[in-house]
Amino acid sequence: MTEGQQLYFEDVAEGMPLPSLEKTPSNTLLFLYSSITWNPQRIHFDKDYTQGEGYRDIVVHGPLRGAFLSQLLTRWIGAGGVLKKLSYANRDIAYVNEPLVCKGRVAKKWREQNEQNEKDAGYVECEVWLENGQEARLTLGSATVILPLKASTAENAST
Amino acid sequence: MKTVAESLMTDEIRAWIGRETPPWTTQVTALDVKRFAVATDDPNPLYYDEELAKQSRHGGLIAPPLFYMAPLTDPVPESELRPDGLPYEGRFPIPPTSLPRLMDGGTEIEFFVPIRVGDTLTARSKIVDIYQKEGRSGTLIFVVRETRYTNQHDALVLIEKGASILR
Repeated sequence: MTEGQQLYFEDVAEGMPLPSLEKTPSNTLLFLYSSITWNPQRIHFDKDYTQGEGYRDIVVHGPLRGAFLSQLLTRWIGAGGVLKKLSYANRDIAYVNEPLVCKGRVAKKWREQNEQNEKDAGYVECEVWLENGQEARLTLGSATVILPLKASTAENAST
Repeated sequence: MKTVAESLMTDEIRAWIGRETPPWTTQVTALDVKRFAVATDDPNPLYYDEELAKQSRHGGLIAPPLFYMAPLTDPVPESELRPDGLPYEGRFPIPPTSLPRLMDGGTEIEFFVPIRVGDTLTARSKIVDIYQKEGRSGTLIFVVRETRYTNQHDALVLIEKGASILR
């Protein structure tokens, strides 16, 4: 998160993997997420009920999996990057206390004027996904981020 | 050749396109943002370290990108919850169909300005499309909803597009 670790547009190449992020959501984390989102759905906290519904165990919230993917990206792009777009779809169920690995890969990069401040900016599109311990993809997604340009940093420094 | 499936799309269902949910507002507090960051296991100091956040380009605390999902649910008394724990009437009603199961069809979010601690967010949501599709397991109906969030300066914060699949 410090300046020395900031990722720049020039550091990124198409096909490059994102540093992966592993999460093993516990019962406690799911309880906290149910609480802050005021979600009383029983498959997220009541094991007897959930197994009675035919699930193996307590189910991880779909949007929490989205939050993990957003963290994969914000951690990678650092304080100087901007998460512009995120889309994801959960395919298979994720269960409590089982590892979820957030992964990504750079799909393409291009330069374009940023509509927000009308400056030249570096755009990067990534494929992102969530795997279980057996490398089966449980969530599929894609994202667009804006990264700072080394060139424009040098320009700012000289003025 | 595609076989022609029976259409489940009635005029009643089609009339739901364009239907809006009453707008709702929410205050973004430092406590809720920190709680959300902890509940999503996200240790980014921009979400809770005020001194550090002040020195960032944001000039203060911001919220994680998906924080807007935290205040989505309107609390209802326990007597108004179904056996599965969900409210009988959620924030986002779905048109009644003959299809019994509801699935999440994915979420697409475009971000414009960050959510900041102290913001008042206003959300406006409407159904933008309803269509039928033939899936491997039979007929599906997609209900697509778009929700726009603005802040107290009337700046667009984000647009979320979400699909529900009835099958």
